[in-house]
Amino acid sequence: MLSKERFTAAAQKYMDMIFRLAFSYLKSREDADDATQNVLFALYKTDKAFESAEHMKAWLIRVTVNECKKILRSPWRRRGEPLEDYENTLRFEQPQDRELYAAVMALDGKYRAVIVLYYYEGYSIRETAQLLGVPPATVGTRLARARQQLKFTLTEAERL
Amino acid sequence: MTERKRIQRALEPLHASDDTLEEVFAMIERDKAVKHLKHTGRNTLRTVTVAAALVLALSVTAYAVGEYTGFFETVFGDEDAGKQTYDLPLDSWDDEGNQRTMEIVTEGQPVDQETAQRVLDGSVAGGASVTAGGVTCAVENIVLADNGVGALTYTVEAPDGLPDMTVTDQVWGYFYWDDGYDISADGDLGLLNAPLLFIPGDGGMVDERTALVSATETKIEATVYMALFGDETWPDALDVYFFLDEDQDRAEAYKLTLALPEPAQTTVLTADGGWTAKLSPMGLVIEPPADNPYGNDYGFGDLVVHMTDGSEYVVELAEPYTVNSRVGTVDGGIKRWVFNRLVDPAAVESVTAVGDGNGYQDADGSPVPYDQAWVEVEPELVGDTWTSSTALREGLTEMNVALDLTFTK
Repeated sequence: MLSKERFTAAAQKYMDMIFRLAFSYLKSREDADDATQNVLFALYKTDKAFESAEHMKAWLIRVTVNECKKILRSPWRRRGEPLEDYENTLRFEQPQDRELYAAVMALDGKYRAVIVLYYYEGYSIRETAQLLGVPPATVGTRLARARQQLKFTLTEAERL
Repeated sequence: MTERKRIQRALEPLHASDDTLEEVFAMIERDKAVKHLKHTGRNTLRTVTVAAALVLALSVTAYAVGEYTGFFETVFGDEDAGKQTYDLPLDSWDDEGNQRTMEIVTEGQPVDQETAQRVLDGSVAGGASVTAGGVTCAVENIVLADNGVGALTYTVEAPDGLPDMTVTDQVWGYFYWDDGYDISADGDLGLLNAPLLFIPGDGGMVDERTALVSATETKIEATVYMALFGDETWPDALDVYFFLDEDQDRAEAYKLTLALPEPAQTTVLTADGGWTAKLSPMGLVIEPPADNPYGNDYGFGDLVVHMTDGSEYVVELAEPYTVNSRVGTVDGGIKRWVFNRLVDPAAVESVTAVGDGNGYQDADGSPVPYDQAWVEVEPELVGDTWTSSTALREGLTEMNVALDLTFTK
């Protein structure tokens, strides 16, 4: 088990990453907060000996993915504020960042998670596949389709 | 600006709530309190709000194996089976905040009991139950075939009234909108009132869908259709977790471990090009050749089981919005369907699959195996971290190939 100090440092370092990935799965701030708390609680309780910061990060991502799947299948998903209300609280640098964010969130869930891990966290296709527990070919397909969908959505938005 | 940097900037505003750490420390304190209670034995765990992971190890009763007539009717369909219509909620809301729905028609077929007894004899097991807090969760029967396809029936019962749980009458499987957008994968549509199934240990996984049989204030009956996958070793057992909520905040998990029956045998069919179809009385698993260039990116618009008597079972969409398979899953290019009826493999002549695959080809037009189409590229500096990346091999172009497969024994 981690010391309180080491746990606190790790939690502060990774909680946004966990939330971002959870939000990409769940599209609900309340559910993503729940998932983040449960994942950090699991981190506190685990006896796992992490070999490195990267090892811990990968473990956290796996736990987050599993936690999100559990929440998605739970009868007790919380229905909180409308997604649009939460989006309106987010501060983007540029208007096009908001458009791209909306386009990403409009993707199917399986594509959103791949986008977050590949583009935001910078994992390779093979690493993303390992983290999600799917074959690399699946990640490649999802990335290609996500790119295609994003391109279509953003192009359509420009035409309007 | 690179594609990666644009997406990073778009997702950067997402942050965990300010009170996240505070909440986690509160959970840690509650966990300590539970451990203290366990240690001193002064009280029951129910007096403490605990996380969903708490598994109550309570009295588990094994059922005797008996006649399966009713079980087969529940799983495959009784004489009243036919088309039923459901409104499937979508992960989409209109401008006024109303959740959009789509009308789904499911189709059932009455089971032939004689055939069911013959082809599934020995592959059905009795279930088990767990009782806690006046609620009994019971798996009544389970049936499995060795292509991983199966089903179980379960009940959740409380004479004094069930905990306030959400009940749905939705049924769904693997199907498409007419624009080709699939809506089944990865649990994007949360499955209400369904137990979670796990293969113990680090083995395979289970994809599942639930169909409600009946629901009252004191009892729920339902069927879970499932496909086991991801591990070559046949599991000995299946863990079933029921989640019941008492305070609408945290659910408690009730766990059953089921010993699995001897699986029903699979008939292996093959098609030109190294394609394989594993057929069992409950479903079909199609595997592409090892060097397939499509990855998961292939599909069939028409998948037909041809019987020796000349009749047909169209597994995918018989007509728009009709679901005539119970579950469809995709994993590593392997596709699975759980049938909505009993199929006697001995009475199957062939299976035809017509669709297309999307992959990549060399300059000379030769297909490239999917896992060879992508290569590692030079690490890229993202923020303050060097990260590896993968890109499509140079010189490859996309290709679309029509698939017209006939699987025979």
